[in-house]
Amino acid sequence: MSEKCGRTMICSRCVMDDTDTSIVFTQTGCSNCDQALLDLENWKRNEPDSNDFKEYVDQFRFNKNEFDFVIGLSGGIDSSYLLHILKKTNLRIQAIHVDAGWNSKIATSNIFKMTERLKIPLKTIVIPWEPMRKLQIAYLKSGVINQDVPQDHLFTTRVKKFAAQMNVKYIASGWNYSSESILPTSWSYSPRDGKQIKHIAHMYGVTKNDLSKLEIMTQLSQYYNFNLRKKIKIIQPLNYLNYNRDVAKELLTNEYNWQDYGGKHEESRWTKFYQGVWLPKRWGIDKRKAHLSSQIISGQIDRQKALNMLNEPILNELQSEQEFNFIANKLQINQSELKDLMFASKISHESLKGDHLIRKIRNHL
Amino acid sequence: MKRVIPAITFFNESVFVTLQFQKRLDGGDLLNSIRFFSESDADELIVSFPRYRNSESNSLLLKSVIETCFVPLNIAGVVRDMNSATELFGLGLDKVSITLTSKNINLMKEISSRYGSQAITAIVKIDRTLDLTTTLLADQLLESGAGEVLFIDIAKDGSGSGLDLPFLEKFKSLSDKMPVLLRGGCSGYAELGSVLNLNWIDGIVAASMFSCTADRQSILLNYEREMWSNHDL
Repeated sequence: MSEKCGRTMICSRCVMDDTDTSIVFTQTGCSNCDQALLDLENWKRNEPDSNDFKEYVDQFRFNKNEFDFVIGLSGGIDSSYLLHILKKTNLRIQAIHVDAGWNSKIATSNIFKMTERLKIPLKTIVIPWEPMRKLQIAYLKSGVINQDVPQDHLFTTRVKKFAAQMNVKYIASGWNYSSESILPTSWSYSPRDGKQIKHIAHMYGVTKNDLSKLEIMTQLSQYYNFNLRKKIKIIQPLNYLNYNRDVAKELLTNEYNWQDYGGKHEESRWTKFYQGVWLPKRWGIDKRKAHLSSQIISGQIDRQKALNMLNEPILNELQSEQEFNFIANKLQINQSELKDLMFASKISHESLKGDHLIRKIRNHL
Repeated sequence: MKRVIPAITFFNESVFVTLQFQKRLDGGDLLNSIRFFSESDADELIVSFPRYRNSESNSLLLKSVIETCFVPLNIAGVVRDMNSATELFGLGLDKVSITLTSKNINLMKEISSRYGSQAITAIVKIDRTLDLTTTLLADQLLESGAGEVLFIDIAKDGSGSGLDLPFLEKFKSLSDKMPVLLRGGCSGYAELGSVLNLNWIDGIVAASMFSCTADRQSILLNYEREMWSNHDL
């Protein structure tokens, strides 16, 4: 069921609206929250000290590798809390952090404080900045919607590569139904598609030499190297816990002097710009609607509170301008050039070269 | 107030964590590191440019460095004449570091008289084979007009094995003449906390400690004031 809110139609149960161009309003709510409710049946809301969670965790123990898990840390709340919980279970953890050049100071500090306190071995991988910068500019020029692809692709592939090198099968991810069950496909595109990344790089002047330094991987290559050869599995322990972000935040602050950086995923300065300025101004999309809808469906927040939050802009005009200028400065392009890109023509990911066949097969399975 | 000063070394395209001042770990984008220590409210920041060559792109780089840093900034390895000093101070640079040699003394004097002694840090590189008397050193330091002296223990750079205090104590008496800073081998926040208690030391400069994980195998910028300041210094 939907209701009108200004010029948009908004779901009556969650807060997704027709800025999701593929939304279908149903008797119960909308396509997004209908699906989310089904998915949530997979969420086992155990307490960390429960036997059920202990049993779940025990299956990863006592293998003959040096570590039970590799965990990717961003300095953000989900991965930080996950680290805290897994350490408490006495699992042997190797942490990894991939720095693509956009870490906020707070995120870096959170990673440092937690790994030092918990004495967790940490490997960091610094992505070469010059090639990264050029790839990000290529992506801006391409006109596609998902500007998080370069960053996200590198995070996942580097973490998997690392796990493969260390002969560790399990990667613990902070992904959770609690706050992430809803993300419409019209707002996104898979960062796994290495073929498209290479294509966009080539289209917009990233040299082969620079691109090779980034080590982009096609889906086939990832499947062969990680799934087939090393049988790497990503697991999501937060989906076996009664995970509540506010509770987690308070615990982390008290125990580790963990600091909050603001909105979801703002541990990356790029994502702060992308979700706070680029998506709203260029595409009319407020990604908070997806996060908040997930939290409404999982009972973490009530709908009116979510609507109130959405009434405030993600960033005010001054903050938007500051983030805009920061990005232009860091990418070494003129502010006017970035502005032109913001209003340049748009193109869908699907219409560009990419691993489309593989994606369709995956979606089918 | 004692100072804790992170040091960054930039070689051509990238920041590097060094071992005895040779490149060891690639630390990535220079402006990123500067931004981090600025936002961490570091007491000061020292950026060294070994093998610096004058060029238009390097001038632009220095301009960006100065604009990006909003804590007191000290640049080493760049200023070799009054022209470059004037240009950099004009852009807003706070301090320059220059190695104390007979060749450099006149330049140091000139910078000090034009910009003030606080604008210049005299670098003394530790050489355990040389038997330099501290009285001679004191005379040279005073003549140079430098506002402070930074002793750099090259052999210890990047080791994290602890400052060689028994050796460095030879220079204790210089603290009567001007503030003394030490650099070379600081092992971590615990050592930092205890060394800062020594009254002849005005501050510690540390590189790998602030750019790496505790085992120094990975890059992780850090500067956590609460981890060394348990009491007022």
